[in-house]
Amino acid sequence: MSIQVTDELVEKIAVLSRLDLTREEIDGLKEHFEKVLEYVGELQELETDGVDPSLFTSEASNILRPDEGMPSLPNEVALRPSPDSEPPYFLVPRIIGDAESSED
Amino acid sequence: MTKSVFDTRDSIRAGELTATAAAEDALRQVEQVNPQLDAATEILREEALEQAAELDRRLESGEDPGPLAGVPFTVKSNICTLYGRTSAASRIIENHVSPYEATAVRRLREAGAVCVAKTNLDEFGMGSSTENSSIKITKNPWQTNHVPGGSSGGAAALCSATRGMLHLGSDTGGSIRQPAAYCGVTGLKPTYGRVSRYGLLAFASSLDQIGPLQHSALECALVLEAMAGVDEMDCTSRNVEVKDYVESASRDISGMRLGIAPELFPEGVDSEVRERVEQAIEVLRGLGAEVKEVSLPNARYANPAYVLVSAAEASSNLARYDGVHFGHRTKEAEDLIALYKSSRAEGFGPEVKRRIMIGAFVLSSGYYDAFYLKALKVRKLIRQDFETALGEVDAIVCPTSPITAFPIGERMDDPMKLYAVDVLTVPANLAALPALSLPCGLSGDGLPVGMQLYGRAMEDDVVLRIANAFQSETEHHLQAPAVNAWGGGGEG
Repeated sequence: MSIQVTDELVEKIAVLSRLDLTREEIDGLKEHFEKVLEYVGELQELETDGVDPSLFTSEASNILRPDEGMPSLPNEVALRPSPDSEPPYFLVPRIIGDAESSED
Repeated sequence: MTKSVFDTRDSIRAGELTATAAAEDALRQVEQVNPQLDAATEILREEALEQAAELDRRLESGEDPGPLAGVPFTVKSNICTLYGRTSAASRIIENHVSPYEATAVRRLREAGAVCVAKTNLDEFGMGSSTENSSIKITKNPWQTNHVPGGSSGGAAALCSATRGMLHLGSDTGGSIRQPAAYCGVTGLKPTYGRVSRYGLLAFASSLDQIGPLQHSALECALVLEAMAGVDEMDCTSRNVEVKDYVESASRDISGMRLGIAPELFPEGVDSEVRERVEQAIEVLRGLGAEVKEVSLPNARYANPAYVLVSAAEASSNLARYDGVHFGHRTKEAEDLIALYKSSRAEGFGPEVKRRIMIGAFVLSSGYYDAFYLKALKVRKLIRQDFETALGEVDAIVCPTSPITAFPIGERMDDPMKLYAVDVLTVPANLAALPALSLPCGLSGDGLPVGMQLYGRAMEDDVVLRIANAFQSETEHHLQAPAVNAWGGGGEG
């Protein structure tokens, strides 16, 4: 698959990644995308029809435990690493009313 | 003074050394070499001495505080400890103190070990030189204008330059083994699922493992024994018997079958590296191992597959650093989306941004099948190659890195040049196998060369055993770097 690495593509991925990028960073990433796509291009040589993708590497599957409540971190301890909180809540800027809408 | 972890442990158990004296000695060593190496991100003097004093009280009263009572250890800064910062060497969580502790750390602490320092790394484990740390660049104790490798470069450099401590690192594509090779120490990436990942800040969850960096395979066996085992906090940890790794690593290797795969000696392996590893294979043959050729036809595709799989998982795992739950938040943001974008833009370094972007790209609609799914299928083929090859032999031998440690700054201009260094280590992570690096000599310009051993899943004891047999016969692992805390030159 041949891919044209455009400003639009990199900017779209930056939105998906929730990263504000400078003009300089976008230019650098365009170049990086091209190099990575060239590097991984050789994977296309390999015939993989009918091969099961290896998503997991652990032999274990369906690890179950009884559905019982267990102690967890106290709320105020779990909130400690947050940059802004008011137990029992994380504080964030206003969400309803003026957030960007459906950008992705 | 040459002191192994076993000496420290035994002296304390015999009452010849107090836990406090052991901690003092470890702290002195770290404080002595750190100005030259920048290997520790934090030295935990006060907390360590407090814990050691408590252990001494327990020892005095006749209690047994555990098999590692008083043995000092260090922890890579992407592994959660209750004291000291777990910063992942990233600005986004630079002052983060974890509210909980990694299972691997807890097990060492419950065995009586004392954490004395946190160590440097490439931000979130992304890099092969520790130059991607937002805190400082760690130096190689053999030649301080060279990199220590990465991402566990702090642990490797500190291990190399000190004695008698345990060092925990993590390995996603070679981050224990490659720095171990560059700093002349022994490093084990255990089988995926052998050690709990709970409390390891996730980079690529299907590839990450915690493991030890030590002066010998036997020391690695001791650490593995203390950390390994199923953990209900990590459902990928395996409920498989934890062996007596020290005992099983001490057995001889006569009759053991070793494989050499031409694909793991590719063009581009430096001729001195090739020679040292070939000489080491002759030593193993002399110890009674049978050597035969095996084939890994798809191994050459491992690195491109790794670049895609690891980036995809990283982009997902690092979504949690959003300016809300942890660490850095931008000063001004009008709304929540802007807060996420600015906090992340300000907090992440360039390499982390590159990986997140590539990962989000290969997971995005329209590109998923061509890249991410393709890479997972290639991963399957690579795993099958190893299954077949390891059906014929007990372990596979190859170099750890195609080159020795390189000068600081040499590869920073082009990330692809750095990625290329991982080519011989990433297959172990993709195939979920145990792999160990051990020193097998020096290059002409005096830098360590690492040999790597791949084993079957859950046969970590086999690679430890081969490495221990080699170290019982040779002295490469005893050689001292230029910067060291015990004043040793040549053999320490």
